[in-house]
Amino acid sequence: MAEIHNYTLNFGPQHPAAHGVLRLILEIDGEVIKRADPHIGLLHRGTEKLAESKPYNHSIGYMDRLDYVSMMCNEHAFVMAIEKMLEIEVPQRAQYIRVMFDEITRILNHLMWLGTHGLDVGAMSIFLYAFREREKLIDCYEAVSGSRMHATYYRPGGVYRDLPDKMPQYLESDFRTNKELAQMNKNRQGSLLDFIADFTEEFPKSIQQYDDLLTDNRIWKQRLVNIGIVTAKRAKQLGFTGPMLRGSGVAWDLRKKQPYSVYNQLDFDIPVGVTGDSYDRYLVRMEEMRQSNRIIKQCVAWLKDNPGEVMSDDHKVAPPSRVAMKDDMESLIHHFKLFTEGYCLPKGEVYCAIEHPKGEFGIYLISDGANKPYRVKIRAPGFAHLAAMDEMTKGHMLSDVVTIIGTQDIVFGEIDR
Amino acid sequence: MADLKTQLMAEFGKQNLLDAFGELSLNVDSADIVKTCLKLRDSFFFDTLIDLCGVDYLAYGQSDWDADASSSGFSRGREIQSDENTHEQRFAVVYQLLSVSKNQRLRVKAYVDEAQPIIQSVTNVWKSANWYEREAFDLFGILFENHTDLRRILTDYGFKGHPLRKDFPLIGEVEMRYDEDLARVVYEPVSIEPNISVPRVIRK
Amino acid sequence: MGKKFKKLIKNFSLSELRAGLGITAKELVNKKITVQFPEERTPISPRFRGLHALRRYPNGEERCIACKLCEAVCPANAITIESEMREDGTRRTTQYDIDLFKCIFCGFCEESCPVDAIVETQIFDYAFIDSREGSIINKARLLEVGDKNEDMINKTKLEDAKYK
Repeated sequence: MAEIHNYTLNFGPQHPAAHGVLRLILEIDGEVIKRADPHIGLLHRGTEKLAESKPYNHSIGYMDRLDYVSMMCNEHAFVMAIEKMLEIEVPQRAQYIRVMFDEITRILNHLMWLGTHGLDVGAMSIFLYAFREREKLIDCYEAVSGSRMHATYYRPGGVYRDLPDKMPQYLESDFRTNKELAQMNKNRQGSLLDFIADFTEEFPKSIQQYDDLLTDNRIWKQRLVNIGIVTAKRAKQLGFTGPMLRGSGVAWDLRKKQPYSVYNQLDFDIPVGVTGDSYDRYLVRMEEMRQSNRIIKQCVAWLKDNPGEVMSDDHKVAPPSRVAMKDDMESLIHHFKLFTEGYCLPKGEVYCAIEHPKGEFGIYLISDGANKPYRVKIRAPGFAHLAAMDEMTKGHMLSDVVTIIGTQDIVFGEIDR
Repeated sequence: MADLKTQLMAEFGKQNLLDAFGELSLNVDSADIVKTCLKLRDSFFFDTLIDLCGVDYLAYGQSDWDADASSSGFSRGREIQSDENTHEQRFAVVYQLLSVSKNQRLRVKAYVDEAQPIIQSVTNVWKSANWYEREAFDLFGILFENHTDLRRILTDYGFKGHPLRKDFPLIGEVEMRYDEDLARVVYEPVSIEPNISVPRVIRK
Repeated sequence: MGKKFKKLIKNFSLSELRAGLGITAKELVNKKITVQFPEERTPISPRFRGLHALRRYPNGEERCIACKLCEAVCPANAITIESEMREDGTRRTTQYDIDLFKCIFCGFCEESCPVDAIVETQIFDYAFIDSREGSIINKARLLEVGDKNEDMINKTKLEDAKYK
């Protein structure tokens, strides 16, 4: 009788289910995984090294490119670390704008996850429906920052510009009658806040639709239930955070436990799972989208009632307005100083973490008193999650690897940095 | 946090504990790292290792620009201000700990020697240390004793050097391209010039 | 017993698959959200950061005074500027290159410019880059983009001026 050996399978780095550039070396016995060895670093761009060579503000744009499906959350952690060291006050309105966009980002991220996870497991249509909703949120990104993805919108001391009071509209074309055009522009008549308010009214219906499509679906359940179980104890040991930890039944959320910005003034719940399998994590993320929608609603209501400044008036950190810069000598000097040399941080080190859609995203910043960081360490949630790939896949079938990659919500921008 | 602070002071000595920007930082002798970490995990309930990273203190406190104004303007030159650097050893390994059950954070720092950057691995204390230690090895060349799988993780296969060390140039040392004649990828010394548009300045 | 029976009925009647197919059928006849690009375009915000342009004053004089703020503030080192004194004694650039392969479209150059010379326009379909060398756009081309689109630039920048 022929002797049967384990054999090794190379998965990726060019594979649609690898969510980017993951290379997995799988040792399999028949169809059962014996060992999974992820090879990462194919998207390593040296963000930490680059950040050491430029003034603080220059790196904000590079933060967007870490986890490129939850851009503003990355920026938030970075600017919060700087603010913590400088000990500057951020205006309330800027805080609410940040929280609102953090939650918009969370929905963006979870929609992306839902679409691709569904696609991996075999549900095609969910991908299209998720992207339909994403488009509206991306429009919010563009309206506020001028970029659909890489916003560069948060600044130490606040946010760059206030929310626009007009939404861009669809223009006339040969393909649309006036009636159709009016229908398309219906939710774009008011300000950005009205557009977002309209979205929050419609979005629960969309989540219900995803729910109807997937939650009870027998194929979806067969692919997800009891796949990649992680107990609460193991999850902590493996350094899991975010939905991966909550899916295992630990009610740990930095927005509640160590509230930053204005999260302590907002009302929302933390969903937790029971068994810690992929299906529970799916349910947790679905509920998180509903909760995010709730938070956005509260932020919109607050922002409508409370106009005001969105940037600190400390001109050592935040540039003066353009009108002031053109009229006033002192402002012009501040402007030049800030855009050439930047600002110096006091000596010391901070670790600043936020509840990123994927888990705890932290910035460990060491300053030696210069205008450039001495060391920036980016704590990416996906890095710890992917490190557990071996443990999570062991004993599962080959096709379950794809489910587990999906449920970990991996994005290589942040893992490889 | 005050409770934790007094407890840690009693356990590890007052001089080793730093409290800055509302964060606690504990300096540990690198020889005792595993013992300390076990104690922190079991008696202080730090159940999660959130992050582990290396730090290179070689260029700490150095600026590119000496801000002495003279009649001819600012003098530009790189001056080594070695007295600024208060770190007696070049490398440090920094552990960010989190206690999910007690909702506390702690930073643990252990310095390692430049000539022999070796420290005990904490993979047996927290499983998540595995990849973080590989990363610190890859980027800083810090060796972790008793680590079962200390391979490079982020850099290319066959990469030479440790890119996050301060003496590693920002532009790198080699560049690669596909060679049509040889029909394979070739590595060559870098051809680009280093270009820093804004000098590093320290204002007191 | 009743619960088990109900589950059995649910399983055999394929209820959740029918619900899913129902959604698909509904979406089949629903209004489409796609547009006929390029004849028809999705809305673009006045803040949009697309292709760069150099602007002129209404009298035809170029705005840029070669202060090099944009060069210093560019996180990607994408901008290269050389300057010289012109015959009339004013400082102007002799070279103004932007490498579009390096540029990360963060908008810092526009933000830093004290005379509103360098701007990012709403143009995003600039598929003229065909080689490494072709990615560098020089001063003449930047001014050309500015001249061609001055109306659009002026309109969008005015619209957004009150927020800056």
